[in-house]
Amino acid sequence: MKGTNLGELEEIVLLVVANLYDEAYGVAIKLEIEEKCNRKITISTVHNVLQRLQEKNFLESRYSEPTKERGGKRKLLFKVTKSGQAALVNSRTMRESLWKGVTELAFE
Amino acid sequence: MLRRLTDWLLQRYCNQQLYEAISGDLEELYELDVNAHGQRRAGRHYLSNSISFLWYHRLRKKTITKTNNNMSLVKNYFKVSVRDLIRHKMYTSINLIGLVSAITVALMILQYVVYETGFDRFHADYDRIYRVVNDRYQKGELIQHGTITYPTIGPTMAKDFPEVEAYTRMTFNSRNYIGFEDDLHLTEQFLFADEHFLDFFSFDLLHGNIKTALDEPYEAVLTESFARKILESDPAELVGKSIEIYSTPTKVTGIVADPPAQSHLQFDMLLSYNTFVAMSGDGADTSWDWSDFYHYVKLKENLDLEGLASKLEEFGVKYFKEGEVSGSVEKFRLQSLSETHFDPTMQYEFGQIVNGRIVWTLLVIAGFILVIAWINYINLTTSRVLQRAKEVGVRKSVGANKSHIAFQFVVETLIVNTLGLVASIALVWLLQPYFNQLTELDLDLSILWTSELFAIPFPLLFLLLFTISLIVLSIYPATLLAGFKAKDVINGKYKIKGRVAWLRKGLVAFQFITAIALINGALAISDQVDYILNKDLGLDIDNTLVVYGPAMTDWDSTFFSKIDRFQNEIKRLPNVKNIATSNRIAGSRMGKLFQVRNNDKPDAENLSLNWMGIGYNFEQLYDLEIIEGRALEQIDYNYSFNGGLIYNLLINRSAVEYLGFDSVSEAIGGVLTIYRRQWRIVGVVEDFHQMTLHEKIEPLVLQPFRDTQDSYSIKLEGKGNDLLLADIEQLYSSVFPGNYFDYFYLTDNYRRHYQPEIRLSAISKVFTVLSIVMVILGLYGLTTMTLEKKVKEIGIRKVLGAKVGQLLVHLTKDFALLMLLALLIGIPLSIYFIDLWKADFAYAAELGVSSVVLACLLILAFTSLPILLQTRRIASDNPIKALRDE
Repeated sequence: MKGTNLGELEEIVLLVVANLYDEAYGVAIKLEIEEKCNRKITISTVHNVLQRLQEKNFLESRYSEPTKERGGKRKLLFKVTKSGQAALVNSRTMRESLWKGVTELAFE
Repeated sequence: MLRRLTDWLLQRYCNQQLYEAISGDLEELYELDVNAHGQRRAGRHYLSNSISFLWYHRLRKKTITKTNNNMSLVKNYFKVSVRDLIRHKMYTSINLIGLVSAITVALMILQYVVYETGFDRFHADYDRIYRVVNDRYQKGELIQHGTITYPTIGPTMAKDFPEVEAYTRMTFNSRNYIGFEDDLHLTEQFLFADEHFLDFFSFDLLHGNIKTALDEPYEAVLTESFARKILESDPAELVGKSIEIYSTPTKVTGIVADPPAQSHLQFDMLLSYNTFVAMSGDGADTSWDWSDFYHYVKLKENLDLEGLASKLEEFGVKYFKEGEVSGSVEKFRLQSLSETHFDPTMQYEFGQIVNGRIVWTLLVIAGFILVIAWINYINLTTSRVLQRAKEVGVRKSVGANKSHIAFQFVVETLIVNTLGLVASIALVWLLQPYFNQLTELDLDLSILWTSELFAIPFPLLFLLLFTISLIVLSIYPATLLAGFKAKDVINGKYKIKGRVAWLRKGLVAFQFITAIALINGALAISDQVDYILNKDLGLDIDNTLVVYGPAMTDWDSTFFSKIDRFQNEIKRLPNVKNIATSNRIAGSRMGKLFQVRNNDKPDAENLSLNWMGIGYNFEQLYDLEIIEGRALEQIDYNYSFNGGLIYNLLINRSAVEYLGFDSVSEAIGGVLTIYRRQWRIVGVVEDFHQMTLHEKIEPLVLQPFRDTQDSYSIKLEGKGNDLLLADIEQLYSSVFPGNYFDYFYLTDNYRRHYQPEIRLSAISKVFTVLSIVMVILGLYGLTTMTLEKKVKEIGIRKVLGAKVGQLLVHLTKDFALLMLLALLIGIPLSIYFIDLWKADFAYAAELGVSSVVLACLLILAFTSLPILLQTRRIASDNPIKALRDE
């Protein structure tokens, strides 16, 4: 089923959310991706992917307490759910098993 | 402001649960951006980021907006209109092509018109600044209508008239050399401007003191780009330094920004007026009969201009005593800055001038082309009214009222016009380089947004025009359609009334008349341009190279021998036929003598004649015809030989009668007193055109004359080439070291004077072709649609035995009548306008009857061809096809 698979960007975002743990919100995720993956990404794309992951139940979100920064607006913090974790693990084991089957000769 | 607006957009259209998070994120990014890239870039990012949110449907508001019935109606109109436009491709494309061409032309012409009308508006007191201009009369006849007056005029007006708040006076010089350190630099035009000049006008003084910069003799203010030519590094460093002009050290007291392109006053440099007084004597300050000076006055606000005009009349009488002071009766007038740029009739003009009539003509023609496009639109739309009637009927029976139906057609017109406008803007953008080449101006669309026309800001005017065009285009088809009764339509009993057909015919006739006028106009203009470029001027200007005189060489005892040496050496070059000096060059303005008397008529008044100082051989070089007496000889140039009492000169044929001689032969031997000196007439030359064909041939005196500033006319065998020019330049610099070698071809000089007409001719040809194409397209569309409705009629007629030829006559006779009517009105109308235009020329080509007839035949052929073809196609179809359906 299409809905439960992870796209490449989805996987990255999911991993970054896991990386940032308690500080995973839009801007932080964007900056982290730009720094770690060395690619440009717009904030709207980040939010779109986050929504998609939430629809798939891989993420859950809550609003933080308001602070004085950001014009007093609250941050929407994301957290990986159990099924999100499962999807990540799943994707990783799938890749590893595929890697195992690759002989070095294949790249020559 | 922009950020608040975008935030509001987000709040309105964004998913409500996400709005706070997103808006917070945007805020945070904005602050990061401000620190990294500055406010402007951050603002741009903020905008593009916010808008990109609306792209994703996941992030947009989930709930459906409350349905607004009117909104959905408009949406439906929109949808139906677009479908209809797509379905009728021919109709849509004819309308669009017409509208796009017309709007494109209009936008381009408007750029030009707005550019010209924007002249001099940068002056703070634009509305209150006037130039003093002056008419001179002798024997009750106007002898000069010019911009130059006497040095005393400005100061005296300021003293006599309380209405005058400020004045400035100036005189100008062109082509001179500035020395700085070891280099010479050419100035094309500079002004001797008095101490009020900088304060009076609003030229931007970058360095120096606006009050004192032009006070003392030998002070100069340079324009920024001229200063940069002299000292590349930093113009400001020139301030306080000394430059050399007329071999006199002159102090640079300021740097002024270059005069804006839209300034009728153009200069490289301002020298203090007192420099001119110091060089030429007190007469430059106090004279009442030396007229080389320009005055501008600034009037107090809200004045009675009529009253002032009559005071000026008295002023002329009071100071000039009916001709006793300066030799002529003087009348003064104030010319507002808004007139100045558009008046080409002024003599001794030194500002940037266009012919206002040409500018307005172009605007009117652009308007007519727009009207042709509109007529196409209206005619095609009304002729399709019946096709749309069913749609209207259905709409009405489900409850639409008149205004609903009308509104739908407004929407449809809006769509077509907006499309047309967008396409036009793109087209203008594409064609701009060609247009700029044609106008020799650096224009683009942006000039429209910042300008005003008829004292209305242009964007507002444009909006107004667009709205008017919407109303004009939609109101008639809309009311026509809205008038159908639902019941009739559904019963199939509907038709349009006779009025519509008449209106349509009237509009088509109007298009024809416009097309006829345009094509005749374009032909006449092109005839006239041919005429002025090819007319026999009475002197031979072909293959004539003119080299500017060695103005930097001192006038001393060796100068004559230098001229002779130079001329002899040049004559030895291959391909050179002849060489002669002259003080004035044909095609440019002549000098003027104001106090000439014929000694045979001792009690006659002073007369004014044009003057040209010529060197030996001039008559031969230009192939002037000597009709009586002889040409000037070497001996005439050596004034001391004949005792220094009477000198010899030539006059032209027009001068014979003007000076009071009964015949050409009587003039020979006659003696003239010119400024208290005696001159004997030894020859009369046939009249030749001293200036362009805009000007009449004037009575002219040709005096033997030699001066350092005289130009050298060199007659060549065929066209000149680089090698020859290099030889001439080398000789020039060896005989006249320290001078700047510069030259032009005489034919180019004439051509330059005719540039506006040549340009107008090119533009009018484009206009004419465009308008004819539009008329043809419109007619093609119209006939196609009318014939479609007559297919059955034609079928029946054929079945009953009508021949194709008979059908053709029957179907096109209305059109032929229309065409005839248009010719009857169009031809006299176009002749009238052409005569108006030709008034600009003292010498104009006869309006050829053959060209008018040809033009009309052309139009007739072009327009009837598509109609005949289309009609023939339908008329020769098998009638079965037309009648089988039922």
